[in-house]
Amino acid sequence: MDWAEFFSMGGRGFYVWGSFGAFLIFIVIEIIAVRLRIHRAQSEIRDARLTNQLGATSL
Amino acid sequence: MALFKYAAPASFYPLAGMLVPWFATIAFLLCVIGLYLGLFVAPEDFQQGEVYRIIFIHVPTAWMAMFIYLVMAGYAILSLVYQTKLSAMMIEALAPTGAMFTALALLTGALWGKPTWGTYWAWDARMTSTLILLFLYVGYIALMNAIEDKKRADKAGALLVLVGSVNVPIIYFSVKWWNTLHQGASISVSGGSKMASIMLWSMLIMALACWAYAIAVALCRVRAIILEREKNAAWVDNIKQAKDG
Repeated sequence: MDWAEFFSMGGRGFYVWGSFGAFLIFIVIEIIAVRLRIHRAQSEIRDARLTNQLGATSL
Repeated sequence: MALFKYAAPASFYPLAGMLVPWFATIAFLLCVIGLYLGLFVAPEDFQQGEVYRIIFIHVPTAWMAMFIYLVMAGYAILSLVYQTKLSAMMIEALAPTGAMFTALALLTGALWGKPTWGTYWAWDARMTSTLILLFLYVGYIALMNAIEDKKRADKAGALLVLVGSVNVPIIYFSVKWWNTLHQGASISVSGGSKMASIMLWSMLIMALACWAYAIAVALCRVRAIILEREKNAAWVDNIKQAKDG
């Protein structure tokens, strides 16, 4: 197949690839954001637990 | 009933964690198949040429934009009637994904409108009501962030989602009720499809991929929300290192 022709999308490449590209970029951003959020929540709990343990031993 | 067991955040947290990889894998595979069929197998459209391929992103994202809102409205009813904590958390988990799909539907619609109608945007009934849908999602998220007391935020949020749900049938039927620039439905329950079958299949597979993706990402986010809200609960202390995410 002719790749140049494929990417030009009949001269409408900007619109077609803009749409497909936006779709993939939005999804990748959302996946990263969700992973960061869950890691932050988990590390907050871990930190709190550590502080609690330290507090208990110092008593 | 066994189902009610999972209405408790403590039992839903591990269940969601188990389901996420399955839905993520299904979403990924369907997306690869759908993109392959849509970009390489489906022929060009005899009227629009190649640019019609935007349909494989535009229609599934627009469906998800409406569908996720309806699911949120369902949870809003559960949350208001039964006061289940998890329902309110599910609304919060779904909203950003719904907003993302709505933004994508509007963006890809604009990118499709320019080469076919000659304009990125028109204040047509369907586009305007979809823009209102985006404002509803963003408004809900802003409201949840603005109210400190989670119980009050949940109530106000659920109410906003429920009231806003009248907008969804307006979006859906707008192309019938008004004379719009936007075309009518490509697929209808009564009349079947107006599309060639390979195009239809590509679109449906992309829609299923979006569906599985939305489930995976919402379940993942609800786990984060459960931890954020329940961090002082005894059961959170019991999950090993809170690491199985």
